[in-house]
Amino acid sequence: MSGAGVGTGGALLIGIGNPLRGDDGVGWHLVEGLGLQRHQLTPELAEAVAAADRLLIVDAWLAPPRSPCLLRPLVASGGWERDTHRVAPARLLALAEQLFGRCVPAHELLVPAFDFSWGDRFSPQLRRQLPEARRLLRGWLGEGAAPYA
Amino acid sequence: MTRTVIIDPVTRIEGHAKITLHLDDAGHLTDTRFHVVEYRGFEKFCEGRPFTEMAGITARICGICPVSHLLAAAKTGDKLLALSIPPAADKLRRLLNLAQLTQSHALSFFHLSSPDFLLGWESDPAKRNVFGLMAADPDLARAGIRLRQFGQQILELLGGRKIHSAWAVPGGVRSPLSQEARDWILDRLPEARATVTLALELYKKLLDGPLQKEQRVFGDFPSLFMGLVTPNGLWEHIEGRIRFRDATGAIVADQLSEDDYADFLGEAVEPWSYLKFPYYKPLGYPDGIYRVGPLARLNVCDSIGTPWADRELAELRQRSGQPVTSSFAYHHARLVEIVACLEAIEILVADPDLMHGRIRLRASLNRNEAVGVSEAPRGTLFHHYKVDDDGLLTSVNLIIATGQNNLAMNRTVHQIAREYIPDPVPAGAEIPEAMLNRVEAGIRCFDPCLSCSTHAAGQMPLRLQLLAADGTVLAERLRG
Repeated sequence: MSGAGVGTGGALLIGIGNPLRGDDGVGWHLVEGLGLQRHQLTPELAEAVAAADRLLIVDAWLAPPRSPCLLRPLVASGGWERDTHRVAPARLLALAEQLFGRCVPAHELLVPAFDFSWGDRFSPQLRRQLPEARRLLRGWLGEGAAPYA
Repeated sequence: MTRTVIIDPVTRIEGHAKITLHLDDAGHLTDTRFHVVEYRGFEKFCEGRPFTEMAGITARICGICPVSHLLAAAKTGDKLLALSIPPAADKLRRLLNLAQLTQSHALSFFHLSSPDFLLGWESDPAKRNVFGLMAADPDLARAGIRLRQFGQQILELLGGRKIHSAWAVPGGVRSPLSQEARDWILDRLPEARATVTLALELYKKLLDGPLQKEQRVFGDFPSLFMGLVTPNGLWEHIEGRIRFRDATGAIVADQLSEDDYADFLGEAVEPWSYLKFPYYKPLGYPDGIYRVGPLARLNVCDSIGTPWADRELAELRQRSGQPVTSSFAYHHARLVEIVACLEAIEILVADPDLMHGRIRLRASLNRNEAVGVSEAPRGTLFHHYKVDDDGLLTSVNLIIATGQNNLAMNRTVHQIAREYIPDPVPAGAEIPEAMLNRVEAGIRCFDPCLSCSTHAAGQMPLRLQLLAADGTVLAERLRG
């Protein structure tokens, strides 16, 4: 009830996207029951990030053709952003350090997405990516920590 | 050759807009226009849907103030069912709206507007935002973020999610407040109070110093003010009746019912904006200009009804007049309203009714037409539905707070432009960025939500252009 969000053994997962815009909802889908589901990252999340031991952001990715799922490290960055109530993952990390004094190890899991039209169904192409996305997610969480079958 | 300055997109507002400054052949400012260039059409595509879905549908109009639409839709649904909701449901809805006002006002003050006050109008625009504020004053930024988080977390504790909750429904609400949630609110209230105390102290110092001119030239003009009040004239945000007060302080109309809004509100349209121009019908268009929102609510009420908020209201009036006519005072009014909300939240969570009794009544459709009203962060919000005997919507009209401030926003931009744009503007002259920022800041006083007011998908930017008489763009500044 801290308002800081939920973690999984010190790990904070945030799935971002719009679950009513097709493949854009894959972040919500993958963190279901594991972490926070948000339409976008906001400055308010900085406190939860600073309170975690490590962070994983899961998002849909408008990727080049034939791109695989990507699990890559995130590096804090303080670059300028026009929008003031939506922040990029690297900016969120920087805010956590700037405002709450902790820069935590972080990764982002990017899942290639193909169809962002209205609806709550994933495209066949994205569905084919899900096993690999889950494997990467399990790997990040550590053996035995993930509830996925 | 006449010229026009266009600001497009306008930044740090909720939505997409542009501002044009029109010059005549001699370079004198002749006209200013605040254009809203989005259209979404919620009123039309809701037709045919069951009225019971409206709380969930209209909440999607906006990610900033979905609660306002949720409550207005639920209230309209109550009236279609012809029922009075249980006391616990009424108080839970009140708590929700107070949390919404708190989080939205915190967003406006700390994230969107305070960078102008604290970093300066001439500061680097790339850093003149909440992130720049975080670098310059991390303690204040952190406190502001946590204040907004306090309001948002109450929304989530009640509705299960921070945005787009469908928790309020015709007949009441879906779930009660848990004891754990109540304890969390009580635990965080002192910090929220400390933060708004800090913000008020800081803001008053700025008013006594560098912001004196802004208070005078940012939209200071006579107009009507409209808002809800209780039967005895106290500040109100969800129930109550409508009051109009004029710039002399006289009550023009009082205890009006939302059911009769078409008798006292007209909606004009202009070909250059998708945002309608509501006006007070008895005075006609555009003389019936009126303002809504935090400043209007504080102007129409006699008092707030809680001690700290009433002390702050008295100081606002002592500093800025009664009624306050400067639109710049919207910022101060937001802080006073946060105080009012925190005091009201504290009273509500101590109320035993909040935790006990029924929270939802059920009934069949009993009426074919209803109007619901509530005070959104930006002002009075009307939902008007007509339904057939199966409860399917045949007509929807949404009158949104930002639209009701449209005439006032245009007048504010004009006043600021007259003060800060050189007269005449020399041919080929550059318009300083800081001057353009002040014009934009005039819009930000109203914290407009263009996603709501045009029912349009939110894009944030603003564009400013200087146009010649023949429409040629002589200068342009684009943010974002």
